[in-house]
Amino acid sequence: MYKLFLTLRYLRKRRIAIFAVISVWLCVAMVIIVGSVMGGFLDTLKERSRGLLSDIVVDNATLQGFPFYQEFIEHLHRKLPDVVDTATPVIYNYGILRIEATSFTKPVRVVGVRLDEYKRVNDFGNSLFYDKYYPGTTSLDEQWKPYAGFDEHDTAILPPDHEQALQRFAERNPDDEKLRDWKRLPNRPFEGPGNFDVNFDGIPGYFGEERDKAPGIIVGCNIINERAPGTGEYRRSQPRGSKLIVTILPLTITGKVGIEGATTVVTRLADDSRTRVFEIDDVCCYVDFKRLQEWLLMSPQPLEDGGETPARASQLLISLKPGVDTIEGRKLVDAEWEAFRASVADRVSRLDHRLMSFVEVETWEERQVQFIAAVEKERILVTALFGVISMVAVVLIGCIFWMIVVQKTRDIGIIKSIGASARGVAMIFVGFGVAVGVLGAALGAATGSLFVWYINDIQDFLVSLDPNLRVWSPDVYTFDSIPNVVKVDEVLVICLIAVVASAIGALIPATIAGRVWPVKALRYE
Amino acid sequence: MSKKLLTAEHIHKHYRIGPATLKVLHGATLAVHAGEFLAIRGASGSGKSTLLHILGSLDSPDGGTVVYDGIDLFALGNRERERLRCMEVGFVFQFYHLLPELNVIENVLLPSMIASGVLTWPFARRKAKDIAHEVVARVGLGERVSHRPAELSGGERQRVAIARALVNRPKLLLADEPTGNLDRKTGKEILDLLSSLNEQGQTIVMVTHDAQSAGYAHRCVNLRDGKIEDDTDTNVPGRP
Repeated sequence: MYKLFLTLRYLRKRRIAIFAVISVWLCVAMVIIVGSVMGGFLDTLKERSRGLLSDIVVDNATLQGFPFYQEFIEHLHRKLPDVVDTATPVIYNYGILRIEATSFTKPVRVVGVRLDEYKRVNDFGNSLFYDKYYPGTTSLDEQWKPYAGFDEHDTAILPPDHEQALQRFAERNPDDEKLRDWKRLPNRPFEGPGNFDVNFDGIPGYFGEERDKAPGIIVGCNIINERAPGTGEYRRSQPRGSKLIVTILPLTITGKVGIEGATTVVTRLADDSRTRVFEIDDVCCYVDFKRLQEWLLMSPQPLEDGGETPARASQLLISLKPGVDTIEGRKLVDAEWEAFRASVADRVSRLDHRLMSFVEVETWEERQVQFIAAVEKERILVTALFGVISMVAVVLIGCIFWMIVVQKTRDIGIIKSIGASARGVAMIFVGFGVAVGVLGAALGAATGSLFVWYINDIQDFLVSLDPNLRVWSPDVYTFDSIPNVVKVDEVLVICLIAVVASAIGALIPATIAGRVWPVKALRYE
Repeated sequence: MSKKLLTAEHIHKHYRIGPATLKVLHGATLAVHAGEFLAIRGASGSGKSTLLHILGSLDSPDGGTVVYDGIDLFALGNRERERLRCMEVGFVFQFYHLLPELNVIENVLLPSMIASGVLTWPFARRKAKDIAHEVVARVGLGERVSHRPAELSGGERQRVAIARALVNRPKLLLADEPTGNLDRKTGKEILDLLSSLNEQGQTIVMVTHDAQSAGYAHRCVNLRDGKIEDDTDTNVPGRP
């Protein structure tokens, strides 16, 4: 009983212990904050990686792609009807994007997708801006530019399909921030979501000749938009339907540039996509799969013998039925790919056979493993670094307890002279260390968790004092806000480590205290 | 003659001070009878405190045996010896040795807490507190239970130390120069208190260099050259 009694009494009366408590407190808070923010960053990245790929990715990591993708999709639906939900082909290539109005150019990654299927296999649909506010108006087909006009009250209005879509969105999302604060005022341009050119004749709609139509393109939001400093809100400088010129280099099946050289196509801005992964939003633009296939000469090409080459795709994205384990699904798809490849072996050319032999079937996580592993390592490294810094706390506790033991040597003699055991005396100081650890860890957990929960509010407050104090700028990072999720299990582990570390810090001085002969301790000056 | 409560035979003890060896006790032998008030006298540095510490197992001898109530103290394991020190022996020191963070009653309760476990303390606490209050009242500090040592006079602190030594009702009370740090009047009060305890049956061994203090004892032995020189019945000549 005396151990607990003296432990608590020393904790209350030994002011030097406050420094030990503070050091544990700060270290625990620091590790929780770093771990939570880095962990949140990693989790968000993983979540988004999964959302942007699909459960299973099939590709051969070449720009030429691989043939018989459509047959394989049908094969999968036939052989694995309970496993495969949706499978869609994708083409990847590189090109140059030019905004016709400004002559601004930028290297881009051109992605060919079947939009409806692509939206089904991953979260791409949720990344689209115009498709959110004007559902159903985003298409990669040929299209004109939509113009805003004015009604009889001189209020800006959009073409009817846009107005109806916006109305539908507003009814479903009455609390949307953009719409909540927006009021249409007469004699003002359209100030609702997005950017639309105005038809100064007053009538909203689509105008032009048939030749003015161009295929739609969805561009990564960082490619043509700017972000407002501070708020990070995107400013859409190009009206919807603006002409964007894409130049790409078709490759032959052997990977050489096609004899026609570069292909330049005119497209119209159909939407912009914000996946919140910088590496994607900064470079990717999306066009219709079939068109890109043709532009890149990956569609069936005539052969001298009268036949034609099979169409090629860079990648297949496969979403699995709910409840199917991703790894299990990957194994099944992989087995089916091998079976399929064997089944078509007799009708593929040597080059096609080669391209098909490079195909790999991976889960989304395996696909991103290098990137995720790098971030994960970074997180472990940073947490470990802060953990090492936290060792300072252990050393500090050791020093403080050493001082306390030295100061309390005579007390130790007294306690031992009235019958306390060596173990009991040691336990007083170990208990003292544990108490310091528990108190420091509790304070650290509370402070760290509160800090993480309110990290964005804290930043906003600092920015309100001085804009230069912004440390996480949404116009630089693709995340709008600092990750602020605290994982209870991680906090508990950190607290446990802190308590154990505090006990270890106190252990050596405590052991020495326990071993001292009472008479020596009583004589201590 | 009452039975022997404690016997020490041929106690040897030396200390190393750098390269030198300081022989403190060489062959000290004495016996303490139950109910006795024994004074051990000796010059400063004669080894009387060392002998007292060995008698109470606070220190270990280099040679010789100490038998308490038929038990060889240094044949016991540490735990048994600690248990015996807690329950059977009470110590009073010249410098009181109270814990400054605890008040009077907490200092006095400490041996009871040591004797009790965390689980048994809730059941033993009330009785232990009653005994502690009774002992504190016996030493005349019933009104000062909440005071810390720093708020007490030297005499009061020594009374607290005596109360602490008595709280587990030990058979043997060892007092090391209990008046050495007190003025004459206060020292006399402490000696009167010890005498009164002895009259109530408490066995006391007191170390002192002062003849007048030794006079309170039934018997006085002198420690000279590391040995017990004589064994005299004082017939309480110094007692007023």
